[in-house]
Amino acid sequence: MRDILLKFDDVSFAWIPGGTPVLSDLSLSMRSGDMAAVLGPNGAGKSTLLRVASGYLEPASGEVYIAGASDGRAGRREIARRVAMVPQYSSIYLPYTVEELARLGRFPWRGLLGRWGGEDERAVSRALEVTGVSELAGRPVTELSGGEFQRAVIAKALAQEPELLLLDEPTAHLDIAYQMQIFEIIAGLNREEGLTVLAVLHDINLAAAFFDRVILIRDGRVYVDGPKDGVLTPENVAAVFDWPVKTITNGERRVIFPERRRSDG
Amino acid sequence: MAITKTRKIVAIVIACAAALSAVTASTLVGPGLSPGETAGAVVGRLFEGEVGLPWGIVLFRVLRVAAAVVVGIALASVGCSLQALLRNPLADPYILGISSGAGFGAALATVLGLGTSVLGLSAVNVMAFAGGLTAISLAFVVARGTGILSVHALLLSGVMVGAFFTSLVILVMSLAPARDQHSVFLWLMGDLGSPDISFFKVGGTAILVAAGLIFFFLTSRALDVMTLGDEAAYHLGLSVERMKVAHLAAASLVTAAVVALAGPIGFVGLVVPHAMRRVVGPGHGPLLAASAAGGAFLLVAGDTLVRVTSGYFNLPVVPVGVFTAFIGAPYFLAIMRRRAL
Repeated sequence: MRDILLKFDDVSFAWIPGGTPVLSDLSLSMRSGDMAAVLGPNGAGKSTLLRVASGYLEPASGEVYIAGASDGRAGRREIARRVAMVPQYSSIYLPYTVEELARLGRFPWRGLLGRWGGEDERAVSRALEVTGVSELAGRPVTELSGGEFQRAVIAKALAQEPELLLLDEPTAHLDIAYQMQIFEIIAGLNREEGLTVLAVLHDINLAAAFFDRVILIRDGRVYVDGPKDGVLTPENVAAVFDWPVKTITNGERRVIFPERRRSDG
Repeated sequence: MAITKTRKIVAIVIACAAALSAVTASTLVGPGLSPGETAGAVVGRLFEGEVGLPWGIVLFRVLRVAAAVVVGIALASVGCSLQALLRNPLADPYILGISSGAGFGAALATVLGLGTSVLGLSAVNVMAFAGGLTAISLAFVVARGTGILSVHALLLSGVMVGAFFTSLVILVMSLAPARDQHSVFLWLMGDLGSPDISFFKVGGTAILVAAGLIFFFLTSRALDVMTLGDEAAYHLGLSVERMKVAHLAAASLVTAAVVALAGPIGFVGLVVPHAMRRVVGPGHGPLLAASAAGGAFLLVAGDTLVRVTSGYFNLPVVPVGVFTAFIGAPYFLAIMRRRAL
């Protein structure tokens, strides 16, 4: 049996103590090598779920186990060596080069005063290579295109050498070519190196194309969780998003699209 | 174009050399003693043990140059720290209200006519230090009251606390006799020419500034990480809140100390980090080194310039703060324009 890297036991979270819960009694677990997409309507608690998973937000109740250690017990740096996060937007206003940015990914391993070693060098050059930004290493990140920039941010996360990669709509504002590029990189890392991936996505079909497992959430709870074929049925998707959908099958891929309720002729 | 490691080292060496040259030049020139006489007085003291009036003038100059070095290093390095911490290019050592609080303390001490207090520190020094720390503590407490210590809350409360203390300064000045108004006014510009400067004061400030600078260097990687934002820094394993509080405390102590010594000399802490970032890049280790040297150079050179020119034209010495603002503001506008902001 593969190790459990992340486990939520009846986790609830509210921004204000006693206020409207964003997550309520949510349970799920991620095993080493899992590749799961979280889908759900706006406000369902998707981004909150990721930030609780990374330890950035503390649950109001329930337990979160991150990489085998209960959140409170493992040190901040210890968690950052195991879990990396790629947010939807990164605002990096200083002109760090792509390589300098990736080197910041070694912070959890080096700390404030640790020396730069061969292991750090290898991790950074691999991260740059895998994300295809080696040629851009010397370019300031403030001068990159959207797709290049997001790959540089992913390179920083990979330089952390995490076991679990959390992604919060990493391609939300990117063109289709960049979207595909980035998910092919991530799917490749999952397949070849067993990187565990938990990604919040907007695009149902993107999730279906790259992820084996899909978690549909609604109102801060898991609605259904399992292999994508069983989860991404028109009934489930329509129920979670509150909108009628249809599917068409094109070869091996099944595509889900929202129906129009009214026709304007 | 990438900034190579060699380029960074060369830039830092040049900045240090420039600062050292400025220190030497500043010690040699000035009213009362020509460069030749100055050198003579130093040689006479070292080899023949002469301690006449010329040596006295040299000592006074050395003290003033040392104060310029200490204040320049302090302001520029605090500027680096706060620009990273607040993620704001407009941040300088005074943005969170320290200078206004210190100004209020100094104005109050002047107007109340409080004399010399303990250990050779004047009441103006002590009350400026206390006022500066009071203001920033207030800003900190208000910002923290909103929950997590967000950068926005800190900036807003700092600017408001600053405005409040500025109004108090004006209130005190509007009630004060003309003579006091003038000295408070000069103090508010920032000046290194205080007649009651002493080795004890400059030395004490230097120790505090050195401790602050060492802390900034030891945590320079944390500054790099913090420029990515709170959440990203957290995800890289930094205890963000703790580091923020530590940097704020260090920056506040250092700033309050140099403001107490020389008044709020403007623009050094704002402009020097920007200028040096263009040369050595955004990484905070090299940036701090280059900025410390650059800050010392700017303030020593500026102070020499105001001393020499006012001596030459036989005018009262203009506060060095006027000079730094005079060149700092246009420089800031120029780099803004070039980056097409």
